[in-house]
Amino acid sequence: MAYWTLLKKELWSIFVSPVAYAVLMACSLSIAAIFVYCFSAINGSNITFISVLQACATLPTFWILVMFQVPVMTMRTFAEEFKMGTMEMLLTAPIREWEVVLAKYTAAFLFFVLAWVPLAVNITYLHIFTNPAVPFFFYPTALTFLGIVIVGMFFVSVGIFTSVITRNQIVSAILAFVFIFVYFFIGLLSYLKLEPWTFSFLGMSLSINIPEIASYMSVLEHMSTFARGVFDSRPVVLYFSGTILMLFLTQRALLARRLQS
Amino acid sequence: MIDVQNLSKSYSGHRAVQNLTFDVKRKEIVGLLGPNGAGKSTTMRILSGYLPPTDGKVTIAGFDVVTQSLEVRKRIGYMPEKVPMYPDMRVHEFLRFRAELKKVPSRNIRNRVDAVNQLCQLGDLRRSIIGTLSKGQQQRVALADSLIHEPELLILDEPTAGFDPTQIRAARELVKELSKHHTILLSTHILSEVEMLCNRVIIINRGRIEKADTPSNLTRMVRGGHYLKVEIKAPSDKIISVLEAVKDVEDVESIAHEDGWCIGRVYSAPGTDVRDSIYSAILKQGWPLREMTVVRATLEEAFVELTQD
Repeated sequence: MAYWTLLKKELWSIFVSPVAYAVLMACSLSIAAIFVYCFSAINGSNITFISVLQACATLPTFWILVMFQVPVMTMRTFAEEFKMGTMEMLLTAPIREWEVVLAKYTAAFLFFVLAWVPLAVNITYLHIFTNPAVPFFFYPTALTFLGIVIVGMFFVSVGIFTSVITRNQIVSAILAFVFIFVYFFIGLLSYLKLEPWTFSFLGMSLSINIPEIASYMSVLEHMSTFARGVFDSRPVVLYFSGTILMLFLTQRALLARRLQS
Repeated sequence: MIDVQNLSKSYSGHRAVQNLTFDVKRKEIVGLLGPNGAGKSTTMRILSGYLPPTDGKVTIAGFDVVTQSLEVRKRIGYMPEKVPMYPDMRVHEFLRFRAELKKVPSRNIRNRVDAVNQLCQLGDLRRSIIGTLSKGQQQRVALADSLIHEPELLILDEPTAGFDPTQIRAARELVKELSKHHTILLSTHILSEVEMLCNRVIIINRGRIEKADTPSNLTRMVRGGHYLKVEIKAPSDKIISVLEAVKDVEDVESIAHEDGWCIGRVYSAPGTDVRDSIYSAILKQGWPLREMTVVRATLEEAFVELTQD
């Protein structure tokens, strides 16, 4: 199937470039720094009710890393093909647009997942090389990684979408960054003490509670739930449907760009 | 093979192609000629299924390019004008990737890559990185790519633009060879190439078809494009009166040249050959004759005449 061929080629073109290794290196160092910071903070103040991983995943700095990481990983996917003109060659082969979109998305997503391997390595190290061993809880750890993966899945699809609507990689990266930044900060609104906004419309009384809406979208809130070892299906549905929407928009945008060119 | 009916394409109000109607039969080589911006590339992009037409209908091998685009794309090998390729890939990796994309069965891929390598003379470039190749070499790779799945129809947009004269000659041989198995639609600026290769030429100007005919018919259409040049030692006015009396001759011009020699141009009715009768008329007069040549207009002249305002 053309999907596998395209996926192979996409992975090849990500890892043939030294940029990929620089990005992985930067992610690995940032993760290490965050990890060490959380570890020493917990250790220093003798906190026992929170694990290191839980502290990391709910630290806003952790998500600022994601804000920079995702746009850098996705900016070139489509923008480069449009710039080099290889899209014309690609789409005159007997393949469908969605195969191209899905292959590029999968490759970028796998790259994203790979960048989080160092965190797993750090957790394992902490468990193995401490005496007495730092206790390891399977569900909180697994759910934290699940949280990172599903949030990443959605953000990567946003990055893919911003890459298809421009031919300049930098513009694409900035757009993705702005989207993720705004999305993250909408979540922070849930900490505001705001009265529900009530108004009447066509004789009905409606009320909009901004902090409540924001809390449904809050990445930090979702992550703290998962990190405690509680599985909440609402964020899973949210991020899955968000990803599908973004991939659908990407496929449409690709079609529209081809028709305009 | 190709059937184009009233094809039109507009870009944001500007009409790039208007009402094109033509067809190409199986195993024909058809050349698309026209000045820059005439709509050649747009037409080829529509035929390749990359762009949708604004209006009109295009079918290739019986499949509609819009509604059955996938079937059409399986059957064509399209080589775009700018030959975009991934600069980091090696030639054989690229060809293998394209073969897989175009659904060449995996057991045939090796054979096909070897075959196109040989056809396009890529032997020693196999392991080169595409970004380091020259324009002509990249074009050979693109040509190899368009041939890899043995398409029924080849659409080549300026296939020889970056070639040196030896390569152009080789490409011409290659196209001739390919036409035994494939239908070929090509666009080019090199008119001598079209004259030598194509069964039929379609001249496009400002998005419209100006003329579609065989190269020899096109050159015949040029005003004063076909005449007999004679060099005779005789008075100019006498030459005109004698030669105009010959059967089928329509017009004679004569200019005094040097030492009593005159250069005459004899225009005859299309499709007639007056060389015999002109010779006997001159012989009857006893005039010395030192040259008699048939002069044909080149396709270049036809092209200029048809596309100028």
